[in-house]
Amino acid sequence: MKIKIKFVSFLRELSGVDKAELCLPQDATIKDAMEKVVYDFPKLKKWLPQHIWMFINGNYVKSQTQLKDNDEIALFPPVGGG
Amino acid sequence: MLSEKELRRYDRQVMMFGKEAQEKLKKAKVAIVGLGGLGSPISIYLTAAGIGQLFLIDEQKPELSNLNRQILYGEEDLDKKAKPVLAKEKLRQLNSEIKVRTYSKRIYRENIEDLLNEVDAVVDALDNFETRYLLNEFCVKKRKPLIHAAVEGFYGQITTILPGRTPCLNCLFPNPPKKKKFPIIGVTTGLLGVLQANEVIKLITGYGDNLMGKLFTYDLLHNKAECIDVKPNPSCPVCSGTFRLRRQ
Repeated sequence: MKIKIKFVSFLRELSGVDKAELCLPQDATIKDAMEKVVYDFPKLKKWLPQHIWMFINGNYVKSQTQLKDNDEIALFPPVGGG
Repeated sequence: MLSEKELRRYDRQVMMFGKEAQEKLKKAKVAIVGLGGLGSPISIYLTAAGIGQLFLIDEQKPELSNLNRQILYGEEDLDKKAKPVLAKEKLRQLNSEIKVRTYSKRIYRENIEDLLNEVDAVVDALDNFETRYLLNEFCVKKRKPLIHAAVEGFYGQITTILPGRTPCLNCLFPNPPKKKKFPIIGVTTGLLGVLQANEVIKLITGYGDNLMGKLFTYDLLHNKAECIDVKPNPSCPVCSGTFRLRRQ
């Protein structure tokens, strides 16, 4: 299946792109997708998956979430300052 | 009822949303929790807009390293009085018609009800998620609107939480960021703080669209704005009960 990835803020800087597309097996999870992202964009290794916030279609998702064809995973930097 | 002086003062905004909306602002009680980088512009713009009562909450005194972004304070304020006390002095110079209540203390589970029970809306201008979660729990329990923002570097996020209608902070960010000294510049807190004040004004007047159920992010370094629709977590331990209650 095809999965889209959207990078926000410094994750975009580290990856060098706004968006990416992944080809994954049918039973893939977020964890599998993040492993593929780290393989394709090694500079993100320090952050993924534990140090970012991930959303699919407006829902916060965890590593074990099962993916569906054409899902778009948006990766946000966790910020807490004020 | 607005006085003749108030009508003149707020003339340019009354032109947009009318006298009734201005009266709603005058009657409103709004808490700003945290008077740092975000709290500075929020308090200044809400004061200028004519919010009736501001509740200012922060336990700290300004330090030199705050001055790149905490525009309420200057060199003469360092290490003297608590931020709410100094803020009140500055804000009263801007607008003597509004009431400012100061609480130079940290918010805990034990005192949150006393501090926030009578306010109409709460603005999250904090710098840590531990207290943000506490604020979120209280606002969900009391069905009070919570305007959240958080920043780091040239990046910031904002959303408006309306318990029972939108995801709460715990739905959106169940895992807090790591605690650390974070890099920040005044333009980021300035922009996000102004947006929070804008959310308060729209919420109270009913004028325009709010960021309810929307997470708006700004990357000021690369001029990128993103807005995604966000949804409540049906198993959220904090707010899922409010949705069940609505359905009954």
